[in-house]
Amino acid sequence: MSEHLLEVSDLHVTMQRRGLPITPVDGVSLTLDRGEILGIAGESGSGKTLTLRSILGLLPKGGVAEGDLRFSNDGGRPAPFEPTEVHGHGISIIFQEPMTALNPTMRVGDHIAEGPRIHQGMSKADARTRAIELMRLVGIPSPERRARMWPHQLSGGLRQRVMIATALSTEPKLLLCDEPTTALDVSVQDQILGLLQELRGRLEMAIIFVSHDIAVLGELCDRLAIMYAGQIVEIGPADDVISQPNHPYTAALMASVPSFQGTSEELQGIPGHPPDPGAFASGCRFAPRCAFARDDCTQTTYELRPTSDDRATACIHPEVLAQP
Amino acid sequence: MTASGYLESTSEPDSPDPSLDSGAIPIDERSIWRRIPMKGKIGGAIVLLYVLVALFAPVIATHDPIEIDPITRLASPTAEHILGTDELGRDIFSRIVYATRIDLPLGFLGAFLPALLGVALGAMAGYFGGWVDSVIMRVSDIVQAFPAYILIIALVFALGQGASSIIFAFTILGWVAYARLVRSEVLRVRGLDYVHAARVAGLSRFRILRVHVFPNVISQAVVYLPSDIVFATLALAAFSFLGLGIPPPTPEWGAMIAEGQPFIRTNWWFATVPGIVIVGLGLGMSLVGETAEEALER
Repeated sequence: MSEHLLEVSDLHVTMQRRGLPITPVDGVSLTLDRGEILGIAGESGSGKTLTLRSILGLLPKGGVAEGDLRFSNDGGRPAPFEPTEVHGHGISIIFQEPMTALNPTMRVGDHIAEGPRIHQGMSKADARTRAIELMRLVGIPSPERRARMWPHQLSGGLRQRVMIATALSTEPKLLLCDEPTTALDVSVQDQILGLLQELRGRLEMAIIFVSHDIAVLGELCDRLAIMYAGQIVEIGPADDVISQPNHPYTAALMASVPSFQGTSEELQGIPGHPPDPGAFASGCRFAPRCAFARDDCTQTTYELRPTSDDRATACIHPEVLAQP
Repeated sequence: MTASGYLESTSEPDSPDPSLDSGAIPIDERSIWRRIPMKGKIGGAIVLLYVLVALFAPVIATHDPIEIDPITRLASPTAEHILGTDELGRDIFSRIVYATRIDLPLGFLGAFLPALLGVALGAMAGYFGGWVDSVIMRVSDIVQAFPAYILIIALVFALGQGASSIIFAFTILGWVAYARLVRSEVLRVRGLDYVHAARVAGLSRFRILRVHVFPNVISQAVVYLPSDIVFATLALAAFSFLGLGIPPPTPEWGAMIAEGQPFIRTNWWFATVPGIVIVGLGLGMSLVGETAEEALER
């Protein structure tokens, strides 16, 4: 288990906006072990979704990803890959909107069976049996009947389960989740999270889960990365990052999330706006909004500095948070 | 689209709990007939009637449509000639019946061939983009820059009168609308997550285009087809009226209106009945088209 499943080093995504190049993802590095669940949290526009999508080459038109991506499907040393090499072999993805993630002109059973038919050369009948197995695996009741239904006949939660079953049909080692629970109501959200956790255990599948919902990430993830303005500002075990932030942005993010235990603490927003990817501040990008900013914060260059064996932060003064 | 009523029941795969089916539309093949609105049924019945008349023209017609009878010229309706006869003594009813075999297929072809060409070119333009897109769309701009009827007249003059020239001219002009329609739909669908998901599943480009893109862009074009058939039928009649369509003595509705026009004061039915027949087909097709459009919106 010493070899990583996925290694991303110095990933940059550049895009054109009104003729000018912008860099919404600017130097992201992370690693993922087999069977591990990594969460990526951040505001809209922090680059978390683009980071996820560039692993599979699914950038919007005009987007270019640069960086060193390595993946190991067979347990060996991770090797560089082209996105098309892992399509259908090793990495799958599920999306936010279950409405647009299923082809409305295909019965859901055929949708799930498509991967096994193409990649494993199954016969129509075998693929159908496999689709029903997968539907049962993701907890869809009476799968035989539902396999014949169209996507519009299913509820949002069931559609999301169909999407997961489709993603699992190619037996991935890594499942990328692009805010898959955001469009669902809370009780269904909870079921889907439970399902993902269960599948991770059963299939030894690693997951990268992107969300802006800290509560969801805290519940699901082993490790948590916080993104701000295209960079990872803090990474570490999810519980530690949430309970003891090492970056003022993480701390501010936690203060803006309602807690169920807290009595009547006032929620604190973060003053100012997230920076525009066309005009990032020099030095620490969070400094203009940071309550603890000092003079040298605008001089520093971005680097994730380890604070312990399993944690790292981009903040050069993490000690400010230790004060009571 | 929330999942109200959906509760976890993995332990009980075939739960009879009816709340699990909340929001599901029951699949009942018989109900499709009931879901078609009245106007759709009427339109369908009208179109079906025309198709049957075309198929069984020899049975329905009372006379040979091109047989000249100089003795009974311009006769009024009688038991023998139920819609009278024309200038050359040909039975008007039989000519109208036989004309269905010309106007109906030509109307269909005059809409179907442009649709075929336009859907293919539009899908290519949208899916491949780049120079393919540029070339196809610039050509469509050029075609659109010409006044349609003048271009058709010029083409028919150049190619010589006849059914094939007319269909050719319609195709040269008519594909543009379909190409634009399908291109914009392909651009929309190409960015949807299920196309991304299909790519990630490792499917080939051809399979993605065929299974995931094509069925989702074709509906707009299909809905446009009936109204285009109306246009093609009317245009065919108009060109025949002007003497540019089907050459005589083949019976054709537009040409019959032209032939009957000088006698409108004495034999009003001569020009009027073919006109009503054209209107009837147009009405039927429009109703079908409208029904299809509304079904798509739902």
